[in-house]
Amino acid sequence: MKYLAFTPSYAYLLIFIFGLHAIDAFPYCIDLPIYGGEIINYGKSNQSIEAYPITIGGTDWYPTWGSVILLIGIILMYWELYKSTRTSDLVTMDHALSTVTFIIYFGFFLGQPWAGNSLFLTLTLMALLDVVAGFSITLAAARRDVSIT
Amino acid sequence: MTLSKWMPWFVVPLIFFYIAGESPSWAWFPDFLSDKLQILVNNDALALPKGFITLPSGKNWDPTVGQVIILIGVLILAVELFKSAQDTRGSVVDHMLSILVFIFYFAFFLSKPWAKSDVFVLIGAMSFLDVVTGFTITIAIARRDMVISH
Repeated sequence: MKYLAFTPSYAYLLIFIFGLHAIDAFPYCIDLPIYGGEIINYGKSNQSIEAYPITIGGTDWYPTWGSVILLIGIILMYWELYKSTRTSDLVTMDHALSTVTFIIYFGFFLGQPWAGNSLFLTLTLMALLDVVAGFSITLAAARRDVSIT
Repeated sequence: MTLSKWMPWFVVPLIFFYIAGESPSWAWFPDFLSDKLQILVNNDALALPKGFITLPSGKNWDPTVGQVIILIGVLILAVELFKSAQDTRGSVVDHMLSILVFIFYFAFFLSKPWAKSDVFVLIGAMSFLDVVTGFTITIAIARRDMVISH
């Protein structure tokens, strides 16, 4: 488990999404409702979605699996920001790997047809913010850090 | 002087490559200038007349324009690393702009046909190294600001 603290978690999310793509599930599952629904004529012009709504806040709510992936991304953002507050030597390696992860996200978004959707763009922006915010937080934490060895 | 603190200097070759690559499709751009830029970027044209530099070993050194651009890129990389070694307030903005410039390099490399040249890839790799080693150096220096060890 120790290596999880020094590797960017968005890389694992990318591997997970790539696995979903490998079983032909990733672009499909974005609009797929969680509760008992399915997408009829997926990818065609007469596509329709069947779902059971949850009544919440007085209206019908149709949660989809795409929103679950987005929520996982937000939770991982917390974990990344928490990791950035440390100022050890391995954190810089973490930031470098985060940069590589962002590049792979961006390359997939530009080059792969299955990645060209707004959910993947949101995850790409999260990976970019992981680089920028992580670096800023580590720098701000390192400035007021007095280490006595 | 304040400009040089946060300016990502790798944007200069990026603008040069962009103008050289896109100018043939611009109507308002002078044709002879875009032809000149095409020759400069795509072919291995000599930067100096042949035999302009004679080395003490007796051979001539004939640098091409691409080699001169790569040399300028190495100089820019040195300037960027020197900037990130100076731990100032503006360095966070500086690194963000460097990341932005590198994103443009990468996007052009993936999507533009004129970006498929060795010189562009090398300058883009230097921009990537500017991002990664830049914040590595800044963090390392900020950590060693006040260390008491024995």
